[in-house]
Amino acid sequence: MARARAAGTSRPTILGRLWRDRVSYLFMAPFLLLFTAFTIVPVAAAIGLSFTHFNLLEAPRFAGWANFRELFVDDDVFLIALANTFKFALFTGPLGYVLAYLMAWLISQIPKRYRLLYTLAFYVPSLTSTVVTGLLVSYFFSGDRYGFINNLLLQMGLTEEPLNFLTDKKYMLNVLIVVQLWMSMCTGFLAFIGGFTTIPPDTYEAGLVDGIRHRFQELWYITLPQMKPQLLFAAVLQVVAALAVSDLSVALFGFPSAEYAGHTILTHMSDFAFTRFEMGYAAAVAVVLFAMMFGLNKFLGNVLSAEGE
Amino acid sequence: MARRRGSPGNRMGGRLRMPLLFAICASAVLMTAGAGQKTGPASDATAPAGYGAAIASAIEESYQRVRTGWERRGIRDAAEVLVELEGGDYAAASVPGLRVESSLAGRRGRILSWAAEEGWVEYDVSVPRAGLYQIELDYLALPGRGSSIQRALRIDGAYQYNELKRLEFPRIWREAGPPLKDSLGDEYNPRAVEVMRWQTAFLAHPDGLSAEPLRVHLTRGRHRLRFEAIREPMAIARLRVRSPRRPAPYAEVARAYAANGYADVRDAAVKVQAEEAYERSSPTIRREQDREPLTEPRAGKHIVLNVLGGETWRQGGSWASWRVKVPKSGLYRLDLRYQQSYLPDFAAGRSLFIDGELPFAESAFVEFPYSPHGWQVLSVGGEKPYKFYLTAGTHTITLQVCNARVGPVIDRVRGVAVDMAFLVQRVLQITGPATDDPEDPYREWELTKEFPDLKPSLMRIIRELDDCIAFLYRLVRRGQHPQSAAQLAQVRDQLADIARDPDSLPRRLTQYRDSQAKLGAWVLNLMQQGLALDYLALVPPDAPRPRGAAGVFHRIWQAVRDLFGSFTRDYTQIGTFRSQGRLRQEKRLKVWVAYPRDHARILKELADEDFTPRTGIRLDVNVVPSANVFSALILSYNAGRAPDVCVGLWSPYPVEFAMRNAGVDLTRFRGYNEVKARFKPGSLVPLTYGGGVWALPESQDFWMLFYRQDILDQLGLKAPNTWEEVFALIPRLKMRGMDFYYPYPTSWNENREFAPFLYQCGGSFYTEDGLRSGLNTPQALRAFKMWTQLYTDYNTPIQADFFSRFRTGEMPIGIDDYYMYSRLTAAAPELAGWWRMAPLPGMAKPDGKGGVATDADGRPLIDRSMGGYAFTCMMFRTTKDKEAAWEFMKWWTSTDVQIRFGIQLESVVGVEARWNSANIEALKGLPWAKRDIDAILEQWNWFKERPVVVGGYITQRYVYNAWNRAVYSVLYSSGKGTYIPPREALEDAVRHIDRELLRKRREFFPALGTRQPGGGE
Repeated sequence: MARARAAGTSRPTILGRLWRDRVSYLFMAPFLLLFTAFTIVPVAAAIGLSFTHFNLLEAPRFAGWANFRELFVDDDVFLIALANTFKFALFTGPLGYVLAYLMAWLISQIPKRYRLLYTLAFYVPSLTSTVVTGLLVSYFFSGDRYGFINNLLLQMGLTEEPLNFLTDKKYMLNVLIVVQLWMSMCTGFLAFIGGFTTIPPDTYEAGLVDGIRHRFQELWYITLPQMKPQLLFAAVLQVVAALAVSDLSVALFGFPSAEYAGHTILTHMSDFAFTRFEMGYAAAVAVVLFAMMFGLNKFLGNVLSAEGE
Repeated sequence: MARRRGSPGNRMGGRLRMPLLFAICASAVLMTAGAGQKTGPASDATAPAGYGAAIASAIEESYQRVRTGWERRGIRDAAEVLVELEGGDYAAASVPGLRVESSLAGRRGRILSWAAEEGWVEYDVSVPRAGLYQIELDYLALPGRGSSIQRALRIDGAYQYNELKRLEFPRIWREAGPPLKDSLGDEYNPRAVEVMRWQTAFLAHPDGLSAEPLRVHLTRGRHRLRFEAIREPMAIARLRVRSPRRPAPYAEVARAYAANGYADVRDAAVKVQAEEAYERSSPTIRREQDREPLTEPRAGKHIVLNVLGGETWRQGGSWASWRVKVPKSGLYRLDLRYQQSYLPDFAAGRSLFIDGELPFAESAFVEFPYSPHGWQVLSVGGEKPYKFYLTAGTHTITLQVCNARVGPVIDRVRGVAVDMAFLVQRVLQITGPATDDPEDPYREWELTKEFPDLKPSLMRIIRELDDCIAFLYRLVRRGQHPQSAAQLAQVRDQLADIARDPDSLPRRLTQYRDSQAKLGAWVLNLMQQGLALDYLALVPPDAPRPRGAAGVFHRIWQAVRDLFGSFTRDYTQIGTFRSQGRLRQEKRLKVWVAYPRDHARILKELADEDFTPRTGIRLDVNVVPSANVFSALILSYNAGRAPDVCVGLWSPYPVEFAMRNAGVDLTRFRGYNEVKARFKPGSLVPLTYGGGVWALPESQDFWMLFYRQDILDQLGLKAPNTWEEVFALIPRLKMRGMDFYYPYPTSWNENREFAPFLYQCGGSFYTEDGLRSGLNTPQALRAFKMWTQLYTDYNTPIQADFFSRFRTGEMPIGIDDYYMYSRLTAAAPELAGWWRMAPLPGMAKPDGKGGVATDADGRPLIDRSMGGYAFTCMMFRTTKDKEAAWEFMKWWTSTDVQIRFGIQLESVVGVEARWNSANIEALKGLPWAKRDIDAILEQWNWFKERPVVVGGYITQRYVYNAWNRAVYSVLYSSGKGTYIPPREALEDAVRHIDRELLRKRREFFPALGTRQPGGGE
């Protein structure tokens, strides 16, 4: 109706259009307000702070590009954190993504009655807090002979004395990767499960008519293309999870971890924020991390949407 | 498994088994050192010559085993004998500290007053016939330091069994008044006061492992009983040696009821709330709060202390008693509402006394079954409840912790731990101590050639463990798997694994020893049987049994109400304890206390009593969890809601505020110099920055050396005075399967582990001006090498539970916080008298002429410097009334207040909460034993705090990294290429530290090169 009336009048000004569609703002308001308060403002504040020296107790001092210059040129530990995060993301990101997809696909093959049970079993790890997981996992990787893994290794005769998984530099990052894989498998998993159920069965029937011979062809030619939005969503989640790992590292190795072997970008940030009280610098780290995530997500969006066409 | 029944030691000949027979005693590895030389009564074999013969001191068996031996030899209770002596009629005594009084605390006669904590007294007793006797004492606890009294008893020069070395005589405590209530309506435990009253007590098992009093064996004729002081003073009025008392079994008592015509009561009942206990054996048995809906009185919005005990009521022999006013004479049933969710699978045991007597034999051991779900009601006697005959009037019901059910298995597992220690000692005698040489991981041993019965010995241990597991299974319901059995099974499986290839034992020593430690911890755990009580009710025997726990909906409703209640009140706040009336000029001070609630409450109470009336300043006290007080402060400071004063702040924090211009320099206040004199100068160092002092220390913690006198004596070793002596001691400990303990470093605790080495070598963390790291000096490198050597060359375990291993004797010596002192005093009564606290090992101080400096007496001067940390109080720049805040800080750190605080704290929470006041005079005023306070003061002289500099956090981090690299590259190296020499590790750390210090200084002082104000020593 509104549209009909609008068509009748001459071209409205921007203000006029804003006023005309005023009811729609009401509908947008809840999201807009929350998004502004909890996302836009903090991000803007972080960007602003990253150009200052701010120690939490005194007023911020403008610093120009000093923080960023130091971060990229002078900070060795940031390089360690960056390397760790990338190595970590490289494994947990794609691998976790593929694993989640395969799991979801396998589970969707199960009769509906049992599906819920399996779904729940796989989803639970992501519901538990990292601290709890950390505690649980530290049993597995405990450095004495009662650690499950050590016990297994000892029993199989692969080692004579228990290995120090949580304080020995050699193992720490790998342990982190394994645990995160287990935990993150479920981030995208639920989206995938949902995606499978949205595909109408007649597409499969049509595929059958067109000569699909086995389940993998079905997966490749029908299921995957049909699930683009879920794929993108899960990819975003996965990237964020992979780049933003920190709680788990702290829960497993303490902070700071031995020789920074479990140091990630995020622990680096909290190091500067809460032990050194350099909020400006920490904000700079956060901005870099934000930029990385943003870029990666854009990239993934392009890749995934290009492939489907 | 097949030989389950027949395996206990008696029929096992075996070279290994036999010394073991008499080597079982309280602390498991006490006897790793000595293969017993003395032949115990139960053993008729002798130790093989040359084996363990070096150690002459005898080790006694456990009571359990000795009794079994007596039984086998047909030694029975002596009938109808009672020999009575006055306390003052001793035959001989060590003179100082002993006096005979003619009257004491309302009692006349020849009373022995034994005020010293040392010495001995001997009595001559002659008995007309041979047999087993019990010994009873009338004693009075003399004012001391609040712990229970301990004595040892030798009969004719020997301890008949180990338990006689640590007989316990509890004190009596009563609440000083009704529970305190603050202005908000929350309840707090009142102070406990000691009751000076004569008690009559049998010598009982110190861990409560036996439901009956201890028996001793006396032959016909004269015997000499010698009591030796272990701790705390006491007076003895009478000593009775008598035939064992045999209370009648219930069946007999019930028949007597019928014969006397006692009838069940009909409509009379009486209920006592357990938290109203009349007396108890320790102030730690106290009121607790419980929010279960059926718990009486019900907890509403406020904190109501409505139950007694819980996890704090678990030490063998400790008791609580209630006074019950019985309305009518007759037969009653006794109902108890309790919670036992502390010790899984098993029932907690208590002995029940009425008016100090066992009503019948069964009441010596009443079981409170385990339930993970919470509260239950027990009618004493179970399905067919016992009836108790009570006359009208006031009676006393006493419940005493008794662990008789698990006693036998505890004894046997201790035996296994001894076996294991023993075995390892023999293995080490063959292989030498360094079996896990990282340079040679593939060395093979042909142990079985030299030690042919190694495998059979292992098999025997495994069978013994199997027996213990089977025993535990018999204690629980069919089909249940007791958790504690699983732990034993783990050890058993590991041993079985080793037994398959005994030659691999040298390579697996670490795990083997872990298992051994596990057994020790297992025993300690099983002995502690907590129990919370809600009420005791005497009801007609046929009354319906009340419900134990509320229904699900009731509980949910309670939870919902609690949730909503939490919106309307601030649980962190402590109310006021006395109305102040109108003060002339009202001043208020907002104080955060980062200590537990009891601490905050006592502080508030003292302030209400003393500080507010004198100064007119009222305190608003809030409790803040100590773990996040710092971030809470920062955030609230930002929001403009910071407190005026914060109490209990960790010492590095105040300077963090000061650097950022948020603190207040205390030196500018009036009276600062007098306040300063209360503390050791070293303790203000970390609170000093930029020429100002930003906080005052309250309590301090630093390290002391703890050692087991008994074990070192047996090994013929002395407590080390210097690090050289420590390094010489470690291999000798290792030979016997024991270890030295040194705390494990972390990246966030101020390098306390490195500090002693560094300071003693003459190094320091920073250069004089505080601008650069001081760790690139030869002194620092030497210190660092010593520190890493402790692990790389001397194989000190990197992580260990020192407290438990100290108790089991596997780590008879080590360094720890002096909080360990409180823990050992409060939670390890079995060790009383057998351990010592000494100053840290040090290094001889050079005199600058190539020789060694000497003290006034010409002894070499040992530098024992170490770091420590403190808890402090500080005010903030935003504090409005700074003079008032200063008044408060002055008051709080004053000697008088600190002593009162410490003493009150101890009377509410127990010895475990010993207040380590930073105020020198106050610390001396607390009830320390002289020897201990001397050791502390000696160590305190060497207290050296590390200065705080801008960016100081980086030092701990990189020093830890350097340690980690240097140590792990040796311990866990896979080949030679990965070795990192200490020098390289440390130099690398210094580079990083210097960089960060420079970077950080640039932040604070943009004009680079400016000297940082202060910070240096």
